[in-house]
Parts: sequence; structure tokens; C-alpha cells
Amino acid sequence: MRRGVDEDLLFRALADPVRRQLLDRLRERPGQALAALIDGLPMTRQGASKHLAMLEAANLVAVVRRGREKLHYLNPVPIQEIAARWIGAFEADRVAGLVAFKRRIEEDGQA
Amino acid sequence: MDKPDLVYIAFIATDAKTLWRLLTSEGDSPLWFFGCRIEIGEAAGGPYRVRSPDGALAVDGAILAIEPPHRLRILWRMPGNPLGEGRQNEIEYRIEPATDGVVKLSVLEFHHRPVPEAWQESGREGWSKILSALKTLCETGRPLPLLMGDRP
Repeated sequence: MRRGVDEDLLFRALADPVRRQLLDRLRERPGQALAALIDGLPMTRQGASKHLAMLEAANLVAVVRRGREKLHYLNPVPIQEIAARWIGAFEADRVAGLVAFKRRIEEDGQA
Repeated sequence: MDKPDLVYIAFIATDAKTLWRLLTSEGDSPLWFFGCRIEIGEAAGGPYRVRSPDGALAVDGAILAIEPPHRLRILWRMPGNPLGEGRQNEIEYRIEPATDGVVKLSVLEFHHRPVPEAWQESGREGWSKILSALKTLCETGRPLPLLMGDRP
């Protein structure tokens, strides 16, 4: 991702709860076609297509064409670049460790 | 094309040949692969291995297809990794032109049977870092300070 325009696209794409929900669904089930992806969501195909186009422009969604099918995947790479920009590669791992540690403690607390 | 199970993409301001050289260079690989060194044959059927900085075999694979500077498909076995035990995944690197002076690097992952969520989580983190490191290296000439211990 180049700084500037592309980064604006990234943050704009992430700024919408519906688009974040689509990313969550793609994380849970990678490689979905549009119909499966929006199954059960209060959303038209047309509306979903627009959201997906924005996510694809921001490189948060990868699209693979297979025959007539268009499959969608969550692409986490731009998120890593954001993390590297403000946290740094070393610190990111320490933070990841802390997050995992916190989650473990919380889980223990619930048990 | 068969359906990939996972896909990772980076847009990199470089040309296909430069990126290909980096991807297939044994000497440069530690700069973008968590300090690991790749060993790569020249033709399909040849070896593709990844050694950790301590020399241990992290990936023991083979070249399934090689089309410089656009496509490299690898049989990807991870003998020492509990998550990868007994698995025969395939990884495909693809380099395509994007916009002027920018190429699209895709990593496609194909699983022969479903992988656990922990594998996917580790892959999301690992491949994101690898692709970011390749991008930084191509665009600035500097390696990202990723060490083996950083690998999820």
C-alpha cells in the first residue's frame, strides 16, 4: 500500500460497520461467493456489491475468479502494514503477546 | 483454476523480475522470510526447502510449477510444525502487472483437507508479515526487522 490515497481508501473502507461485518464473515469462511456471503444479512446484492468493491479497492478483500464464480477472501496484509507503521515490527509481536496473554487471563477468569 | 482456501495480496511498486529474483533467491530470502533461508531447484520436480536460522528444516517441499517471473507453485510440507504435521498444502506465488510501475503479488494457499483455525490465524499473521517485508524490501531496499522468534 502506498501512503496517501491508498491509505485513505483503507480507512474509509474500515469506517463502515456493514463492511466490517462482511470482513468478519470472510474471516470465518474464506472463499465465499456473493450469495453465500450475504445469506441472512439484511442487504441487497447490489448494496453488497458496492461494499465489496470498496473493500477490494482498499485491498482488504481479495477476489479470485473461478469460471463464472467470483470468490471473496479477507486479505489481512494492509492491516499488518498499518500495524507496522505505528507499532513497528518488534513491538507488534510484544503487543500480540500481551493481547494473547490478556485473552488467556480473561478466559481463565470465566472458567 | 482449483479453488484456493486462503489468499494474501500485496501491491508492490516494483517490476515482476525484481520481485521474482527476491522470491527465488537463496541468499536474499532471510531478509524477508523471518531470517529463514530457502533452497530452491530450477525446474518442476526440484526441491523447495526452508531452513530456520538454526538450520532446522521448516518446510520440506518441492516445486510443482515454475514460470519465471510470474508463477511459482510449491508443495509445502512442514515436518517439524505441530500445526502442519501430516499436511500436504500447496502454496502458489503469483506476480501480475497492476497499475503503472506496480505489480500485484498473490499468495494462494491450497489445502488438501481442512486446517484448524490456529493454522489460519498463524497464516494470516505470518503471510501478512512476509508480504509486508517483501514490499518494504522492494520499495526501500531495507529489510523489516523480522526475526525467527517473531514468527507466530
